Amino acid sequence: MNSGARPPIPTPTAAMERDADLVAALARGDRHAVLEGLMARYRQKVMHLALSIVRDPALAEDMAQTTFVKVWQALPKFDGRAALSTWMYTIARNTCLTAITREKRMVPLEDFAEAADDDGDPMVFGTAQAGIESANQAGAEYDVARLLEQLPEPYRRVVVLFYLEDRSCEEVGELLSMPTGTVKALLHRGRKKLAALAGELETVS
Amino acid sequence: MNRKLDIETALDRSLRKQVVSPRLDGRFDAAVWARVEAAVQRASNAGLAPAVVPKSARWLLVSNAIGGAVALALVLYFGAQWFVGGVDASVPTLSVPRLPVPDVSARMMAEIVSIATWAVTVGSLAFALMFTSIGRRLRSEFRQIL
Repeated sequence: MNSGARPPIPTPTAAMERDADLVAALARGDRHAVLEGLMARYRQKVMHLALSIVRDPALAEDMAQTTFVKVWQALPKFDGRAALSTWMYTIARNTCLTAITREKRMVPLEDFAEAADDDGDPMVFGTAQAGIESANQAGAEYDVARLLEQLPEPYRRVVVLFYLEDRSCEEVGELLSMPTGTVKALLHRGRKKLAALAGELETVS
Repeated sequence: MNRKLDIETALDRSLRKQVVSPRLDGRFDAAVWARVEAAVQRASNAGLAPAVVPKSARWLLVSNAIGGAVALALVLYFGAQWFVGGVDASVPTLSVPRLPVPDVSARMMAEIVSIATWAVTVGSLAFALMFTSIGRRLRSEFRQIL
C-alpha cells in the first residue's frame, strides 16, 4: 500500500522560493538553463564553501567546477525534497571532503604564497609570510593565516566562511547545513580561541 | 579586560581584511561547460563501447564454440555407447619400447636447467610487460613502423 504513497510535500523555505524558477525550468527539462542559473547565483558561494574545506584556492576552484558538473549529471534525479541550493551545497561538501580524504591533500598555508604569487591572484587569507605582508599593508595587526592554521577544524571552517560570506551566520548555516544557533556558538568559541592564540603570540613576541 | 577586547577587535579587523576569495567570472562558467561537454562525450562513448567487439574476442568465441561442440559430440557418442553396453572402461596396458637416450652429465643438465630458467623468466617478464602502459605504447609504435 505504501509503495504508491507520495513523498510528503515539503514546506517551502526561503531557499526553495528563491530557486522556484530553476525548479520550474528543471520540470520543463531545460537542464542547460538550470545549470546556468545555478552558476550565476551560486558559483561564488560554492567557491567559498570549497575554499573553507580544502584551503587551496586552485583546488577549491577545481572542486567548485566538479560540483557543477556533478550537479548537471544529477539534476534528473533531483526530487525537490530540499531546496536546489541546499542539495547543491551537499554535493559540494561531499565532493570536497572526498577529495581531501582521497588525496590527503591538506595543503599547508605556506604553500599558498607560491600558488598566489605565480599568477597574481588575490591572496586567500594570506600565507604565513604573505599574510604578514598583507597585514602590514592593510594596517592589520595579526597574521590570520598563521592563527587559523592552529584553530581546530569545526571552528576554522565556520570562522573562514563567516568572513567570506560577509559575516552572515544564516548564510554559513545554509552552506554547512547547520542551524544558525550552532553556527553562532561555533563562531563565538572559534573567535575566543583565535583571540587566545593571538594573545599567546603577542606574549611570546 | 581592555587588552582582551583590544585583541578581539584587532583580530576581527585582521580577519575582515585578510580572509578573501578570488572572484569567479565567465571563465569559470566556460570551464564548467567544457567539462560538462567532455562528460557527455565520455558517457556517449561509454554507451557505444560494448558494440565494438575486438577481433580476438570473436576468435575466442568461435574456438570456444568449436571446443564445446566437439566435447558435446564426444559425450553424446560415448554416452550412447555406454547406454547400449558397448564401451570397455578398462585401462589398456601400454608397452613402451626402451628407446636409446643420450647420456647427459649432471653438470650439463644443471646448465641446461639454468639457461631454460633464465629463458622462461625473461620470456615471462617480456610477456607481462607487453600489457603494461609502456608495453602497449611500444607495441603500438612497432605496429606503426611495420
